[in-house]
Amino acid sequence: MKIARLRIDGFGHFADRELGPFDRPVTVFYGPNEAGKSTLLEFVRQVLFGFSRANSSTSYPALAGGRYGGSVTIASDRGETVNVQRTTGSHGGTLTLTTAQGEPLPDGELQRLLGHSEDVFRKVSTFTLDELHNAALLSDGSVNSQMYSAGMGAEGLPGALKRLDDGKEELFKNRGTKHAIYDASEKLKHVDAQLQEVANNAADYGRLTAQLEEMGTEIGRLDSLRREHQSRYEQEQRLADTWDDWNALHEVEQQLGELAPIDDFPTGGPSRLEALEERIRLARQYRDSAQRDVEGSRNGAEAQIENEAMSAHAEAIRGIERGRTFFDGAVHDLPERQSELAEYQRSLQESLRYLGPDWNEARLDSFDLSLVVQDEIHGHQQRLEDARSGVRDCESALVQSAALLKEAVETKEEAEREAEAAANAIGRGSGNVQLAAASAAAGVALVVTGAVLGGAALILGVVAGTVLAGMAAYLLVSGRFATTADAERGRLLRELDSATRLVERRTGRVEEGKKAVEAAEQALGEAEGEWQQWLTELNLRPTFSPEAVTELRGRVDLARNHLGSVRTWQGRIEAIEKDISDYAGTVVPLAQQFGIALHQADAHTIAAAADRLVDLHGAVSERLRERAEAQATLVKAQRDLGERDRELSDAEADLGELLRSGGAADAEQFRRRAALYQQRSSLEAQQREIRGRLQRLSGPGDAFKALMKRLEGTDLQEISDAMREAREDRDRCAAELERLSTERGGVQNEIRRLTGEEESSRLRMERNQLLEQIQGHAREWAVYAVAENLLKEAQSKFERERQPDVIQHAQDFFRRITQERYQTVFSPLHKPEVHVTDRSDATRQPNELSRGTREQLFLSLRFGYIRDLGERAERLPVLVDEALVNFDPERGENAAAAFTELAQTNQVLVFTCHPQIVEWFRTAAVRLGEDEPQVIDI
Amino acid sequence: MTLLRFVHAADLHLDSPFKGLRDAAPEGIAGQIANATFGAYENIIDLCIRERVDALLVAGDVYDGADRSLRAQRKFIEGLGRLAEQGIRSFVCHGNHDPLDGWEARLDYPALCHRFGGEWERVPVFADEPDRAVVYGISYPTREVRHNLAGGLGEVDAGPFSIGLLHANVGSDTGHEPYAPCTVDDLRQSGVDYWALGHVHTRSLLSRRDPVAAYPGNPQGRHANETGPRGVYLVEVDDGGAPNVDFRPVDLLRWERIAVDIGALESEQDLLDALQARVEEVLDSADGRSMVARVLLMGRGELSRSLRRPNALRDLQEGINDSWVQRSPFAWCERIEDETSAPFDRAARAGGSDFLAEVLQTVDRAHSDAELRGRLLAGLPELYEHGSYRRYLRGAVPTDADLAALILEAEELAAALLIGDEA
Repeated sequence: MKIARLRIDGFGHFADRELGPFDRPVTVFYGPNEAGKSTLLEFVRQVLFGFSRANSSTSYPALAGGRYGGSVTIASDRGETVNVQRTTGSHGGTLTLTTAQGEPLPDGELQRLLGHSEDVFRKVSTFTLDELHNAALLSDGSVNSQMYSAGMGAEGLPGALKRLDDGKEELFKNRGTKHAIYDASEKLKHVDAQLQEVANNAADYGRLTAQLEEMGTEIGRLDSLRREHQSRYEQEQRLADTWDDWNALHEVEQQLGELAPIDDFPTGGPSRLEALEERIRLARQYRDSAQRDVEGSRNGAEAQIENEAMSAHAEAIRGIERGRTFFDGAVHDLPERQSELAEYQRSLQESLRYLGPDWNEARLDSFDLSLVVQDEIHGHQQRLEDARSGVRDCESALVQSAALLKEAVETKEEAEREAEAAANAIGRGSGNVQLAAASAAAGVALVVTGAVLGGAALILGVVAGTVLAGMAAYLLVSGRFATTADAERGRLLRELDSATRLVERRTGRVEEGKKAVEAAEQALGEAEGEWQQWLTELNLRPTFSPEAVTELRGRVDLARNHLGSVRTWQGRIEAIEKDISDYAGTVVPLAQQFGIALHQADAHTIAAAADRLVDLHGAVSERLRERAEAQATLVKAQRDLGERDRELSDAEADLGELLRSGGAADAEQFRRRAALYQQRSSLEAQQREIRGRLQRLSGPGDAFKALMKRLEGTDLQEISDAMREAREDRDRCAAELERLSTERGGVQNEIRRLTGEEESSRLRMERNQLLEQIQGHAREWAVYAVAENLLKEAQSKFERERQPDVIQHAQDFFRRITQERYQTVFSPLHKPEVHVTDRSDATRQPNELSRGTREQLFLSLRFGYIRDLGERAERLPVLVDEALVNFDPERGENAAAAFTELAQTNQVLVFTCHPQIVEWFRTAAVRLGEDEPQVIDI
Repeated sequence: MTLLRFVHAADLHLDSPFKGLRDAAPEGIAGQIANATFGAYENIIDLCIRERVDALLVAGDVYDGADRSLRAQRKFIEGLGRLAEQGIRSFVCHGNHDPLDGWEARLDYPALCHRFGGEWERVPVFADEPDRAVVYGISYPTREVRHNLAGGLGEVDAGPFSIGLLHANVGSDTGHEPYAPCTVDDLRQSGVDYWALGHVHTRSLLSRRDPVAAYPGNPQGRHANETGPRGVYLVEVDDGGAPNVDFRPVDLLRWERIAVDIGALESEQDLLDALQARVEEVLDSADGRSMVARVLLMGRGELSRSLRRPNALRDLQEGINDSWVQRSPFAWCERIEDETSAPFDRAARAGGSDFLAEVLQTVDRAHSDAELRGRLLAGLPELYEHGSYRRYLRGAVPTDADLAALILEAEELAAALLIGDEA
């Protein structure tokens, strides 16, 4: 695109002003300061892209009058010429597009013609000296996107490098302490220190085992010494313990020396003496008592007894005594039993009268009341009832059969009437009909008659009647059949035949019923005959029914009971009378023998005599018993007396023997010698006991002797001193032993702890883990580091070989402007920076360059952008406002040459107030063989 | 009839902590992990008693002398004491971790235990039958035994059944320090019937007959590379002098690696399910033992992106341990290694012209461009040679082999960061 001309209606201090046409590649607007160069530049920008707001820094109100705005005539790369007019209006002014022929175009066409946004036009295509210094251009998205175009795959590079760097730093920093390897190494140092401590355990173990051995030896020595002291102490203790015994022994032996000797004395002498003396005293006492008993029992044993003869009748008198109560009862019961007998006899007579005059005691006895007879009666009774029931049942069945027969005959007659009616209807066979009717009537009459008469008449009646009826039916039916159709004929024939067979069957049943009645009546007669025969055999009236016979049996049974009672009471009275008689027979002779008066023979007198006899006999018996007892006592007393005499003499002999064995003549002397013997024995026992104790302490034989000798040569104080000394020595050893044992226990525990400790195992494991962690972190860090190097290596090569076209174009311009003082321009991947290298391959950042060189670099970058844009889109005109003022003449001319060269593709509009710059452009045009620039004074 | 029955164990490393753990074990199982070497040793003693063997042979490295663990030594002697009470003899030689000149507490060994000194000794297995079986053994006088000890034995008596008890590196490719180096031929020439070896932690039968030469391995795996069943050999020698070697696992805990390819997984739940299935499989085959597991996630997939979120692996680890540790037997995931890649076509992207392509091409160039590789790795010494930390990183400095992996990991990380949510 090119700008062909400008028409300013009113903008800044321009009014109604036309500029152009601009038909050279380079147009230089030359004018002094405030001539309006910047205003013109802004006019072009704002007409093409819209007016600035009224109060903005880029607002240029129409100070010289005229309508605000104007027009810019542009020619596109495709040769279209369009007039772009913008006047006052909202939203950046009112736009009017018209063709060269004055035809209007839609507003949207302007964007198409320009081919770029205002942003690009403002930031790239038009620039002032100030804008040249604005490095933000490189970081501007819309501009920067042209550097490394999308799809080169490096978008993630910065993030990746940062991730790698962060990852590395988390794991390891050369001088830092906040990283994983440092943390792990610190822990490792701690573990190593602990392990070192544990390693000392081994040395401790050696030292402790040696110490333990020494302690064992020392403990052995001390223990031996302690036992020695203990032994000494115990020895002295024994002496001390024996001291009292030693003194006691001495005293006992002295007392023994003072007592008279006595070799032997009976064991338990005094007590035995006392026992014998007591025995003799008691023996004498018992002997005197026995003597008195003999004399005392002799009178009783020889006493005389009155009525002693009564003892010969003792059994009879004891019988009288036993039967006394029975006798009184018999005498009292007799009248009562006799009265009861009379009552029973009256009841018997009454029963016999009730049975009948032919009944007496003999017949009662002979009458059979057994169950067998009762069963026979019941059998006859059952048979009679069955026979009577059979007769009733047969008669009832006969009546029913006769009724059925009558019904069958009527049915048959109905059939015959139907046949007759049928025959009459056709008028044929009338003779047969009449004959049949007569036959049928006769048949029915015969049957009915037979049935009523019963027996053989019934049979004959039924048979004849049936034959006649059958004939009648045949006649009727055959006659009818001859004339009726076959079907009707068949039906009538079957009905008649069926009725005929029914009459025959029921006639048979009536006959059977009559026979059954006869048989039942015959069976009843037989049963009644048998019953009468049975009555006759039992001598009973033949008219008795079984029920009457049963009643009779009850009455006989009652009478027989009465008879039994009479007989029982008669026997009982006889027995009572005999008992009274027998009792009196026993009492009376004895009473007479022993002088007991019997004034009367009545029961009371006999009872009194019996009582007297019993009393007398009791007294005699008591006397006899007492005499016998006295005799026995006498015998026993005499025997006892002899025994006591022997006991006394034995005791007196034993006493004499004891006194002799004790060397005494009497008891008194015996007792004195016993006391002496007792005293010596006691002292000797004490002597043995003490010596025994001493021997137990010292040991037998020589040891005992030595002890005795030692005791003889010392005293208690000396022993006590020796004991104290031995005890103190022993206690010192024991305390030392205890201390050493405790110490040894500690050493043993420590050794056990050392040999069992798991701390070192745990520490070694932890150390291995930490080492593994450090090595793992290191490995991870190494991967990060290599990955980082790899990306940087690739980046470096990529940047070297794959710089974007923008930079390459810029580099061409920059090399030319600086006359190859600088060789390369490059931009790192995805960094908004450019770097340059000079001839010595030294890389410099823009801020390391002089102001002029830096402006030349940025100018070159703009050229690069513009060239690159122009290769892909509408080629924008380049509007430059005093961009070269800081260039030295040589580089200024080079820059002007670069502009001139650029002008071959993009129209260049230069605004300057410096004639030298105008000259640079002219010189450059000449040098390049191009047209001179169009210079417009403003 | 049996001539001899014995248990051959080695490399007990009692009280030596597990290696490679970065985290402390959860409270409920920490004790079992800390005492695992002791537990395995107790299992050996129980096995000897249960099988009524004649002897236990321990081929060196009973404990790590440098640790100076009194507890280890005491427990070891207690175990031998239990054997002695049952009349079972024990023969012990010392290796590079517990040499004779190393630290040792003054503890009394049971009478039925014989510890070999720094010279070859010949000791009958049965004191009352000296010609039935003998043990030839030697201990390391000092840690650094770089000469061939087996060669110093010479030729042994042909009569009794002979056992050589030796801590040595047989062969040249064992992955272990070449202490007392020798070859199987050296062993064969001695005439010993059974070489009870120690030093190599992975069990192996170097020679199955004439002679038998066996490493039982360590009885308890102690780090993520010591996976699978660990135990001892129960050896039964018949009357004809033919040994029958039977491996018996005695380990208390089992180390396992659980690898899961995320390629086919779509969600975190899928990953959890896959891990659960794998841990069930592994536990099923662990003879009822608990397990310490290292989980390796690999393959390309969408999940890789979420795994790279901060703390994602830790959250995942805690999540699975919440349930695994509670079960009995337990499984404890001690670490999750993430070797997964984001799902993009590297070859295609490397052929492009964008910045990621430049990154990938840089990595490709680094394979052959030593100078470029040097620039990529520049800066590592800042940490690995740091005055305060280098002592902790000794042995962990990336080797040449590691560097390639390191660069690939860095590429993966850089690509993930650059791509972000693009893919």
